[in-house]
Amino acid sequence: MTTTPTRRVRLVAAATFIALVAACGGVQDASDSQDLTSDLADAEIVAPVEGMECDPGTEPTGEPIVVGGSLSLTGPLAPTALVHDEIGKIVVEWVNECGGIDGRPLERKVLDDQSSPAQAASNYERLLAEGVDLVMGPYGGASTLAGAGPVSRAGYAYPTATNGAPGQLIGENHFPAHQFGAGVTDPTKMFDAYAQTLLGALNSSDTPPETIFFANAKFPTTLSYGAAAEAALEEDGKNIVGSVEYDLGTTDFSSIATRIASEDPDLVYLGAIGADVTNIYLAFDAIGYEPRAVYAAAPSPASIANLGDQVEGILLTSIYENHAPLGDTDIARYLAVTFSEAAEADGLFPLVETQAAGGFAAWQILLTAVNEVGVDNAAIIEWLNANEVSTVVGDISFDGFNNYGEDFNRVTQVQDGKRVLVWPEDVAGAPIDLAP
Amino acid sequence: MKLSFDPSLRRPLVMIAAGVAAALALLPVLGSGFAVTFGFQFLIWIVLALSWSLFSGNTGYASFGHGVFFGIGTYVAAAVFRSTEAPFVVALLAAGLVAGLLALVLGVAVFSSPRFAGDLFGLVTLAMAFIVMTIVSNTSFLDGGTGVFVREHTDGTWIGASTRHLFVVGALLAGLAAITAAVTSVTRWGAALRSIRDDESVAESLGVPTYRYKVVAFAVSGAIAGLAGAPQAVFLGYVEVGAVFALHIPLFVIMMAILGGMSRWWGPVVGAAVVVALREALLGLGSAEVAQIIVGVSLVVVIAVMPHGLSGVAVKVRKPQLAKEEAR
Repeated sequence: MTTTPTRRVRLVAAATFIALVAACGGVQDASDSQDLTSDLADAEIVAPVEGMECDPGTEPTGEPIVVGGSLSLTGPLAPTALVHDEIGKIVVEWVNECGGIDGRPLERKVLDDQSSPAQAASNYERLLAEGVDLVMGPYGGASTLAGAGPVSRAGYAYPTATNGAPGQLIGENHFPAHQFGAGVTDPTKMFDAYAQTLLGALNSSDTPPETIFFANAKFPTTLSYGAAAEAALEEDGKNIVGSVEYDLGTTDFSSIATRIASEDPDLVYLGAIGADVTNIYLAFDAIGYEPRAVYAAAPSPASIANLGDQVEGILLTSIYENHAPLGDTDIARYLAVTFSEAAEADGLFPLVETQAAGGFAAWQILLTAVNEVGVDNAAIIEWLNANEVSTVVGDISFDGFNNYGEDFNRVTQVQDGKRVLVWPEDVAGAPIDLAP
Repeated sequence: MKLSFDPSLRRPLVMIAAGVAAALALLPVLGSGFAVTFGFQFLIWIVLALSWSLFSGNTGYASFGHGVFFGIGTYVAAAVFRSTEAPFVVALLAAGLVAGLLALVLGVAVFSSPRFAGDLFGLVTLAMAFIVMTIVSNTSFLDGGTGVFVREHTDGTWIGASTRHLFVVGALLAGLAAITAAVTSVTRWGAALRSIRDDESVAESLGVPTYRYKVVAFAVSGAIAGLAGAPQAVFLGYVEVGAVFALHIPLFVIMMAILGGMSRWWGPVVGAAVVVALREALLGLGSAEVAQIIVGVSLVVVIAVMPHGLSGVAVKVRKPQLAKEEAR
C-alpha cells in the first residue's frame, strides 16, 4: 500500500461524486425539433377525456385532488421517464385550465426514484402515508412491480403507462395503458399478439422479407419480443439466417454488423433499446454496409430522428403516431401541440409517440374513472374493471390475463422522413413500403 | 487466532442488543407503511455499510464491488424461491453462503498476488461486478436476461405477508453486522486488519498472516452483504440485473462509510443514517438533479473538513483528549 489513508479516502470520494453526478438524468436530444413539428396545426383546448366538461377560464377552487407518483427523474431510466413527467405536468395544467375536476384543482406530487425499484416502493409508501388521493404508476417493469406492493395493499387504483414484461403482475387494481404482452389468454404466449402484428405488417408488403437476422439486447422486454417474433416468422416459413444476443451497454457493434453483412438478410430485426440503433448504424457505416430493411423493437425516438436519411424506411414498434385516424381528434391535436411546445422547451423529443401517448392514455384512464365515480379508489377499480375507456391509443378494456386487455403493439415506418403507422390497417396512415 | 471475551465489548454489545430490541419494540407503533419501509431500507443500508467497512474500512483496501455480493445474495434467494418450496431462512442462508464463497474465491485469487494491492484492488472489484452481471444475465437458472419474479413465490408465506416481517429480518441482520463490526474493533483480528491498513509490509514482518486475514475478512464481509440480499429480493418482488447490480449501490455504501467515519465501528451506521435521511429529505426538493448534487457535495465537504467523518467529530466533542491523541 503506497497511498495514505487520507489520499485513498479522497480518491474514493472523488470517484463517488463523479459517479453520482454522472448518474443524474441522461442528456436529452431534441434532434431537429422544428422540422419535426412544422406540420402541427394550432388546436383549441378541449377536455382531456371524453365525458369531462371543459370550461376554459374558470378557476378551479377547493381542496385539490392530489395524484402521487414515482418516476425515474435521474439515473439510466430518466431519458424515457422524463417524457412521462412532461405528460403529467401537461395533464395537470390542462385539467386546471378546463376548470378542474368537479371544480377542484388537480395537483401532482412526484418523487424521484433514481431508477431504483427499491426507492420506487419506498416513494409510494411515502406518498400513501402523506395521504395522496390517487396514484399514477412509475416507468419501467421492475419499478412498476416494486411499487405495486404498497399501492395494492392500500387499495389504490394503479394505472400505468408503458410497462416491460412482468408475467405475473399486480391484480385487479392494475390498469395498464400499454402492457407489453397483452392480447392473449395463455400466459405462456404473452408475446404472440405482438409477433403476429409484426408478421402481419411484413406480409402486407408486396415483397415480404424471406431471410431475417435477429440481434437482441439482453433486456427482459427485447428478449421476450425477439423470441416470440423469431418463432412466429419461422413458423410462417421465413428463413432465420442468424440470431445473436448482446449485453446491455454494448456500444461496439462491429462484429454483429459484420455477421449481418455476411448474411445480407432481407430484414434485420434489432431488439434494440435506447441508442443501440445509432451505434449499430455506425457499425454498418464503418464496414460500408447498407441493410436492405431494418426493424427496431424499442429504440428511443430521438436516436431514430438523429439518424436522418440513413433510417428512411426503418420499421419500428409503436403504439401511436400523430396522424389520422388516431391523431385526428380534438384531444389528440391539443395534446400534440402542448406536448411539442413543452418538450421542445425541455429538450425532449417533441412528437407524441409511444411513450408520450402511453403516458397520456394512463392519465386518461384515471381521469375518466374519476369523472365517472369521483375520487374513491374502490369505486374507480370497480368501474374500470367493468368499463372501456376511450384513449388516444384506442379504446382500452381491462380484462384477460393480468388485466392486460387488447394488444396495442403496432408497426411504424419512417417514410419521407416522417413516422407513420403502417399496420394494422385500421390505424395505418400509409401502407408498408419494403424495397424488393 | 485466540478469541476471548474482552470486557470493553460489553458496552457496545449491550448497545447493539438495545438498539435491535428498540427497533423491534417500535415496530408495532410505527404508524404508516412508509415508516416500516423506510426503516427496512435504512437497516439494509446499515448492513451494507458495516459489512463494507468490516473489510475495506479496516484493511484500507477500497472495494468498489460490494454491490455484487448484495446482488448475488438477492439472486440466490430469488432462485431458491423459484426452484424450491424451502422456507425463507434457507434462502437467507444460501444467499449469505454463496456470496461469502464468491468473496472467498475472489479473495484467494486476488490477494495471492501483491500486484493487486492498493488501488488496483478497487479496479479488480469493479471488473468483478461486470463479470458477475454478465454471468447472471446469461445463466437461465439465475436470470438469463428476463428477470425473476419473486412475489408470486413469497405470497402467502411469512416473509411475503408483510413489510413488517422484512423489517424484523433487517433489524436482526443489522444487529449481526454491528456485532461483527464491534467484535472486530476490539479483537486481535481487528487490530491485525488495521495494521494492514497502516503498513502491510510492516504487519507482515511482525508476523501478521496478512493474506489469510484479508481473505477471511473479505469473505465475511461478502457473506453479510449477501444475507442482506435475501430480504431485498422479497421486498422488490421482481429482480432484474440492471436494478440489482446498479452501480449506485456500492457507491452509496462507500459514501456512507466515509461520511460516518471508519475509525470507529459505528461510524458507517451514522453515515447510513445521514445519507438515507438526506436523500429522503431532498426527494421533495423539486429538482432531482440538484438533490443528487447536494448529496455528492455534502460528502466532499465532510471529507474536506472532517477527515475522520462524523463519528470523529462526535468523539472530538465528547472526548477531546482522545481525539487529540488519535490525531497524533
